[in-house]
Amino acid sequence: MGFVGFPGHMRRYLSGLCVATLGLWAAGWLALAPVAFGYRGNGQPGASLHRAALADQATAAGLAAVSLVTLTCWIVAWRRRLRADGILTSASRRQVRREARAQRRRERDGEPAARPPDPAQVLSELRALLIPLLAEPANGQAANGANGQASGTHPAGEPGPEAPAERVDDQDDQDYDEPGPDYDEPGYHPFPGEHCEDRRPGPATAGLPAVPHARSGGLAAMESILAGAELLMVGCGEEEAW
Amino acid sequence: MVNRLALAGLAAIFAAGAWLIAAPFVLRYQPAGSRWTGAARLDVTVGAALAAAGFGGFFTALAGRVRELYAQAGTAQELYVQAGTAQEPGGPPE
Repeated sequence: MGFVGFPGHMRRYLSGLCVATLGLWAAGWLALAPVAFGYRGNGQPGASLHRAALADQATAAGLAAVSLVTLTCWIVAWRRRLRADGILTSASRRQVRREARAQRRRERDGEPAARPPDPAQVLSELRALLIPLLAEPANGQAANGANGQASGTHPAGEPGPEAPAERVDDQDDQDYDEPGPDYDEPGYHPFPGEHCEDRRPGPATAGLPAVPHARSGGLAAMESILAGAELLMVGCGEEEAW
Repeated sequence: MVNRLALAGLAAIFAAGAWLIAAPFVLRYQPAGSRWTGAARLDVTVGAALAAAGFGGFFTALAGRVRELYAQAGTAQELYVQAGTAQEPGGPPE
C-alpha cells in the first residue's frame, strides 16, 4: 500500500510526521558528521573546515529543535482529529486523573456531578428556545396584516368583490394564510402592548401548554441555523479553526 | 494554532535545507572553482534532501487542509439547500 493510497486527511498528517522525522534524522547526522568525517579538529579556529563544523553543529541544533516541535504538533493534531472522528476514544492518563480530581472536589463540595453535555440534547433545548422567538414576530406581522385584509371585506363581514381573487392567490402563498392573529390557535401569545379585550376565549386554550404557531419559513431558517450550530459543535471538537 | 505551528515547522525544515545548500558558499568553506570538499558535499546533499522533503510535506499538508475546508463548505451548502427545499410549498413536510 503506497503513500498515495492513504485517504486525504491521513496523507496530510503522515507527510507532516515523515518530514519531521526526517528532519530529526538529518539533525543527528549533521551533528555527527564533523566527528565522523574528521573535519572538526582540523585547522585553526576560523579555518574553513572549522567553520564548516561549526555551521553543521549549529544547524543540527536548530533543526533538531524545530523538528521536535513539528513532530509534537503533528502528533497532537492527528490525535485531535482521531478523537473528533471517534476513532480514538480513550482519554490520556493525565486527563483521567484531572477529571477524577475534579469529580472528587465536586462531591466534597456537595455539587452534582457534571457530565459533558450531549450535543443532541443541547440542540433540542436550543430548538425549544428558538421556536417561541420565531413565533412572536410571525404573529406580529400577522397582526399588522389584519388591517390590510379588511379592505377586501365589507364592514358587515361579507366578502368584497376582490375577495375571491385574493383567496385564489392566497392558496399559492402560504405566508398570507394567516391574515391576523388567529385567536383560535392554542398557543397564541399576545404582544405586550396588544389589547386582548376582543379575544375570544375558546375551550381549546384552557389547560393546554402554549405551543406557538410558527411560520414555515421561520422554521426552515431556524433549522438551517441549528444545522450550522451542529456543524460548528462538531468542528470545534474536531480541531481549532484557522 | 497547532496546525499553524505544524505547517510553520515544515516551512522551517525547508528553510534549514536551503540554508545547508547555501552555507558552504556563504561561509566560504567551499572556495569557488576548486574541488568540492567533503564537508561542502555533505551539507549540500543533506540540505537538498531536507529542502525537497520540507517543500513536499508543506504543500501536501496545505492541500489536505484546503480539501478539508472544501468538504466542510460542501456539507454546509447541502444543509442550506435542504433547509431551502423544506421551506418551499412543494417540499417535504417539516
